[in-house]
Amino acid sequence: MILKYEYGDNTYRVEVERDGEKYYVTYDGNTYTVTAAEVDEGFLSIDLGGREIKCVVSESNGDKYLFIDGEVFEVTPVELTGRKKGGGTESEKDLRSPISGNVVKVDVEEGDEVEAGDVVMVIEAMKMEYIIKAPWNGVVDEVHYEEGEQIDIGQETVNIIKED
Amino acid sequence: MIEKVLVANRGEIAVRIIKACQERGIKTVAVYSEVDKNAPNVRIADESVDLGDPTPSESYLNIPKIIDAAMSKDADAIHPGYGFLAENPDFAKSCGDVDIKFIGPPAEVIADMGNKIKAKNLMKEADVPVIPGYHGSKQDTDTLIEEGKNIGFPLMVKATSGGGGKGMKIVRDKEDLRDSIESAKREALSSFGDGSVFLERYLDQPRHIEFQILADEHGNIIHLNERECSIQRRHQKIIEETPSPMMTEELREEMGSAAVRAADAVGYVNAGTVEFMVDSEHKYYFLEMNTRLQVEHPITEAITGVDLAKWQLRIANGKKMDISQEDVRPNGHAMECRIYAEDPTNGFLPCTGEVNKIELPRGPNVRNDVGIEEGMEVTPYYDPMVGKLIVKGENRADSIEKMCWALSRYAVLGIKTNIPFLKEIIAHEAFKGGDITTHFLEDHFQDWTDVKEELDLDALIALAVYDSMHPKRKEVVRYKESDPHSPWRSSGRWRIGV
Repeated sequence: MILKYEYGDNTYRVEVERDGEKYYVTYDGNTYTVTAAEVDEGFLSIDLGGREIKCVVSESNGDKYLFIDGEVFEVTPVELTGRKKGGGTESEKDLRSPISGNVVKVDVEEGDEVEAGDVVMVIEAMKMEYIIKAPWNGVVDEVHYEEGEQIDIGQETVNIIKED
Repeated sequence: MIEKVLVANRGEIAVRIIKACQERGIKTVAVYSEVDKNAPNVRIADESVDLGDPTPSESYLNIPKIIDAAMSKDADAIHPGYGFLAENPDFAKSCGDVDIKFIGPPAEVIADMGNKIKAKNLMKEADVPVIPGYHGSKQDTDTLIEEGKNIGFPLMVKATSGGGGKGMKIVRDKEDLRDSIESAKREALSSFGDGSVFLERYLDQPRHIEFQILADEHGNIIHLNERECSIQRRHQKIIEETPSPMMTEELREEMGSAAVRAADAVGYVNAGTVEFMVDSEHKYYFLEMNTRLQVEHPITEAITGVDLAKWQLRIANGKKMDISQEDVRPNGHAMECRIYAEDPTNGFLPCTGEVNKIELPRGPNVRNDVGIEEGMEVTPYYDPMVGKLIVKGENRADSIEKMCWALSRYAVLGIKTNIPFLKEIIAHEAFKGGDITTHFLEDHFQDWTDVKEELDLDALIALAVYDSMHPKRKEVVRYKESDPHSPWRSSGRWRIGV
């Protein structure tokens, strides 16, 4: 099977064939033959040419988490999301919630004219408030959340049509 | 005698207190909001009460709900933990009103220590040094200059209604006093609409050092040495240790007796903490008194062998302390790292989500106080601290070694944590040298961010192997049908689609 992982700004394409306990992993033109066992749920012991790799893997919301050599890597399998994570321009990102939390204040209504820097929404999470500001001058086209609603990280708060 | 305690808190501290009660044969009642119903404290308690709505004001901060819960379960005492209602004098009083023992100091003491000005005045009377300052209402420049000269230098001019660094000036010489006061007043007026300022001695290279206190209802008070808590991020402690690398035997004796005097002066009962700021010349000043069990209490327990949570219960029961100051003989060095659900790659924003795997470091002298488990959700409602990692070593260098080891084996998957940040602090030369102040993180980690490097080959192989072992369901079926050598085939029909 062919797998694609995204980590940071890089995408990795890996091919793996399985034959019982043996795995043939091909990456960047090289094929590595390893034997592997899942010693406990998520706990892998992998033998790569006599060297043992120990790691813990888990999955959540489509992302994979890997604990290896004292470090945690959060990796996005590309084929599962169908689109690159963290896409969009800088300014589009600015209107997305940086955190999952509660919408405690909505400062704009549809049709409002806003100036860059105007507060459009306040989101509270873990005793802290995050302020979403208009990234440009324009008109509020859509307000996606009301006060008191839950918002997830990365969701668009409002849509503002840029003034020409 | 206390027979049943309601623990009015959540997370690791609720677990900690319930276990202390269980060891003493006391029954326990957990309370939980709907997002915490699967939390370990709820499972291990004898009984539990649903508080409903997770909003803090509707759950863990709701005094009537918690008092009702205690009464409905016939609890005869309430332990508040830390945070939430722990330092709310109205809560302590409400408990007393319905004859439920509040495990902590009397309500009046909590109120006195919560009032910064009153606390400071009580300390002055008890001959405990406070940071010299002027907080008066006479705001003409000449008065402020006179007061400034009395305070001494360096001093700080700060906007009374300010926050952040606005309207704040550090004055190192009396020649600069007039200009700085006038400029601070202008800034204060334009930023906060209020031009009034206060003056306070500015501490160079300050350390945050606190003393643990235990006081019984019979007038016995002891201290259990200091905790060094200078490593703070935005005034939030993240690494604590004891003993402090700067502490001398003389200073400990002096500060320890000041802490005992402080507790005595306010009529303190139960476990508490007297916080001091200490400057580069080892001058110390009272900062505030925390009238509760602290987050970082385990490091004191590690070196003194005294179980603070159990002593809280004994003291609340009216027991006379049978440990005297001479009996406190600390041994070795202990350190705590607070594990927060925060994203170090994204400005340390709190991080929510399901914890799908936890593997904690286990070994000699490694203690894990945690309030989360696999499958639990970290929600946005409460403080993002998910656990505390405490190690004890023969000495500081040994503790640091052990902490490095333990952090590198601390696997929490599914949420982001501050562990990469903690690892780098522990490994920093200045930290290893004990050269720490409350400015440590600003000085050394101002623009620190967790750099995303490339995935290495081991990681890629591991992921590929894992995915090959756990294909999605339709691929499982395909394996079964097409590959006669597939282990899925031999493992039997019952496994498919599980």
